[in-house]
Parts: sequence; C-alpha cells; structure tokens
Amino acid sequence: MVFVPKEPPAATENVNVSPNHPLHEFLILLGGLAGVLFLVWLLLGLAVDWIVPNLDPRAESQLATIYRPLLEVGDASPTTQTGSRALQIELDQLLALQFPDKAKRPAYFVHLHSDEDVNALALPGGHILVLSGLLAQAESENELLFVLGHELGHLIHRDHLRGLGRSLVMYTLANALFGNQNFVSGMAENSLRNLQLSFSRGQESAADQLGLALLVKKYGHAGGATVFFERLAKQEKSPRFLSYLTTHPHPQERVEQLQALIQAQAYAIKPTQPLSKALKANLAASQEHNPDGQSEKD
Amino acid sequence: MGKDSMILTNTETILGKNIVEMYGVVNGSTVRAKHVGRDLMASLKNIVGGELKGYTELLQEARDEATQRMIAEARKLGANAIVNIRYSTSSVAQGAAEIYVYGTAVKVG
Amino acid sequence: MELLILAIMVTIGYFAGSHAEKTHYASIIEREKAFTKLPTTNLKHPPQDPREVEWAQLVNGNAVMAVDYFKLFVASLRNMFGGRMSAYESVIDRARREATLRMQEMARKQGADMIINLRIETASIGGGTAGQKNGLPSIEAMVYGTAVRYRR
Repeated sequence: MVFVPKEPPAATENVNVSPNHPLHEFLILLGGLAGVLFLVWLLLGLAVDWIVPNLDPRAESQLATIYRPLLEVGDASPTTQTGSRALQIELDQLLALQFPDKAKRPAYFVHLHSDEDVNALALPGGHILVLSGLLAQAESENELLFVLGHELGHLIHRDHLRGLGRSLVMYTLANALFGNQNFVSGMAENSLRNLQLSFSRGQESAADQLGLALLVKKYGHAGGATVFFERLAKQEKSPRFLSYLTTHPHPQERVEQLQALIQAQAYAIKPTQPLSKALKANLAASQEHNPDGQSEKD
Repeated sequence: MGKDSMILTNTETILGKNIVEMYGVVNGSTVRAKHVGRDLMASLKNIVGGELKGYTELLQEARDEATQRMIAEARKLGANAIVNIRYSTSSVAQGAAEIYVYGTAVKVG
Repeated sequence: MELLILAIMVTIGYFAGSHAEKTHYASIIEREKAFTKLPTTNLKHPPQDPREVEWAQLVNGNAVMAVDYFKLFVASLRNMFGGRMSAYESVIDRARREATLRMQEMARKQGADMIINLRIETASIGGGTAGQKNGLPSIEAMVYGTAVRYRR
C-alpha cells in the first residue's frame, strides 16, 4: 500500500454541504410558515365563530368570576359607586330601547373605575368597565351614551368572547406547535395577533353602528356621536398610516365612518344635552380624589 | 460487483483483496430535523415506551445520505473502496441530529 | 417592533455570516493544499514502509464554530417542517476541517511524517441549543490521532 496525495475538493464541490442557495431555502420555509399560520387563523376563526353564539350565558358568567375581585377593588370608593349607579340607569334605558321585550332582555352591568385612561371596556359576563378618565372628558350625555351603546354593541355581538377565545387558542397552539421558547414561535404569535387586529376593526365599526342606532332611538337625532372620537383624534399623536398596527381604527377614520352613516340614514343633528347631575357630582368627586389626573391632559 | 461499486468495510483490510493505494480520510455528514408531526407522535410514544418508528426511519435515511456523500467524495479521489468506516451521531441543536461517517479511501487491486 | 429587530438581526447575520464563511473556506482549502503531502488516515497501522519508526505520539486539534443569526432562523423554521438542515451543514463541515487542520499543524511542527488512527468527535456546546434565546448554538469538532515519524 502506498500513499497517493490528492488535492482537497474545491469549495463548490463539497459533498457535505448542500449546493442550494441559503436564501432559496429561507424563502420556501418562510412561505410555508405563512401558509400554516394563515390556515390556523382561518380554522380558528371558524371554530370560535361557531362556538361563541352557542356558548351558554351561565358559562360566560363563570368566566367573569375570574376578574370579579378586580372590579370590587375598583368599586370600593363611594364616589365611583354613585357614578356606577348613575351609569347603570343610563345603560338600563339603552337596554330597554334595544330589547323592548322584557323577557329577552339580558342583564348587563356597568362599573366606573378610577383610572386616568380615556377608555371603556366590554368584559365577558356582561360587564362594561368605564374608566373615570373618559367621564372627565365627556361634555354631553349624548356623547357618553354613544360610548355606552358602543360597548353594549360589543357585548351583544359577543366580540369580547371571540377575542378572548381566539387569543387563548392561538397562544396555546403556538406553544404546542413551535415549542415554548423558540423565537420563531414568538414571531408566529406576533403575526397571529396582527391578523387578529383587522378582525377587531370590523367588530369596532359594527359596535359603532349599534351605538349610533341606540343614540338616535333615545334622542331622535345623532348629535354628539362623533364628539368623542373627534376629541380623541385631536389628541392622537401617531400618524394615520400607523393605525394599521393598533387595535382600534384611527379616531379620525371612525369619525368619517360615523358621519357617512349619519348621512346615509339621514339622521338629524341637534344640540346635545349636558351631563346629568349625578354624573357631574361624580366627576367633581373623582377629580378631587385624583387631583393631578385629568386637568393637565386636556 | 459492478465496475462503479464501492467496497465499504469497517475493518482495516479487505479480506481476499490487496490494498494498493491509500488516499486519506473521506467523510460524509448530514443534519436532519424531524417535523412537528413526528415530534408530537414521539412525545405520545414516550408515555408508553417502545420503538419510535418515525425516528428510526429518519435516522436511517440520514445515515444513508451521509454514506452516499462519503462515497461521492471517495469516488472523486479515484478510490474503489473505503475501509475502517466509523459512524457517529450527535445532536447539534434542539430537535436536530447530525449523522457523521468517515473512513479511509483506498484502491484495491 | 420585535419583528423589525429580528429582520435586522437576520439580515446582518446573513451578510456577515456568508462573508465569514467564504473567507474561511478559502483559507481552509489553501491550508489543506499545503498538507496534501501529510498522509492522514484512520487505519490502525501505517502502510508498509522499509523505514523504521522513530516515534509515535498523540496529536489533536479542535475548533468551536457558532452559527449566525440567519442560519439559526432558517434552522428554527426547518425544525417545524423537518428535513435536511442545510444551514448547519457548512458550519459543522468548517468546524471539522478546521480542527483537522490544527491537528495536522501540530503534527507538522513536531516533524511527523504521517497521522494514523484518526478519530473525530462532535459535540454541541455553549448552552444554546436552537430555540433558546440566550446564546446561539455552537458546535465543537475535536480531532485526534497518532503522529508517526520515521527514522531517516
């Protein structure tokens, strides 16, 4: 046996490295991932849309017990309690308008929560949470009622459950499929969440429609409906094109949508009514309670 | 055996043949990942134990590929046999296994 | 935002990684050419030689190679679908050839004529298996054998 020296193979002739270009594989895999995510999102949407309308309201109120302690903390101060009561009267009037038949009328509750944020939330179990920041900025009863009607729309459409169900299932699925700490699973989750945003934009405008209809039913005109979003639009600092990345549509967009709706339905616009005394009293109290809260924000 | 066939052995010599030339070490390797479906099946199987058929097949496929790559390298050197072949398996990343095979490329007369 | 950072990291990883790989391969092939006259085999016994063996001793070489962010990303995707992970192949190949070259350098310095009974070990080290956020996976190749010198 003799040793015969041989030259090493050229870089392109390396048998142990696949000859295909890395970017080629990258694109194929990324496409595959996008396809899988889209399929998951589609199937999930169908599943949740099928389950939610069939869900027993009692099961829903079971869900609500999870965050009940949080609400009770918020309700502790007497000022927010009087505010809650005043809001509940308004909500009951809206409910009576939406469901004239008393037997079919669902029991929904509204709670006032001391928080600087200008926001209101619809929660599972038929609860609406109004943050006092919103109340502090409200100038008219019409405006406040429109926001209440909007959240009521979410509850009636059961959007809160859809959102909850989707994000829950997606989170579990992403974890099960891609492993717990895999950074691709983080990316998958993010893109699933972004897909979900477009879903909730559709829900928002449906809820806006219901809020508007209720407003007109109560006052006979649509005055004050756009005031809330107009104010938000003025405060909004992010440029409009960024609104695709946020949960809610840009306020200016919603104002335009509402105005188009008002024109299409030929709703009249008349002067608005000031806030009721009970709510005003609460507003004063909550500002006292939280002196540096709202004054500087306006 | 045909003209193109490569003699593979894990002994140092080939019984009944005479090694006339030696070219040096040749190797073949491949990294394989198992897909999510197989992972799920395997984790289910882990509960009861027993053979993981999916993994057995996967590793065998990978071993065949690594061997083919080694043979391709030996052929480039003009060898007609590979002696003293060794296999090794290592896990290079979570969920991926590397199969590595090496031997000495030789020419038998 | 997270997606943006990820995209930047992957892009940097791709360009920096493929540049480093190219230069590394060029250097590997150049050095391998210099060692073609040093017989390296995993046979236990050297080929028959009329000369007498002067000494025989252990030589070794190792190299740890880390994957770049682009490869890590492609590999994580590949982990979902299964199949050949071509992104890691070149990393392992480089580690092994680099380790072999270091062993051969050591043997040459000692004045060896050939290396026999070569063995190669590969291990994944550095805490980072793919998918963990801290630390990229890295691969160690360890090559050892017996260097032989003939009396002249």
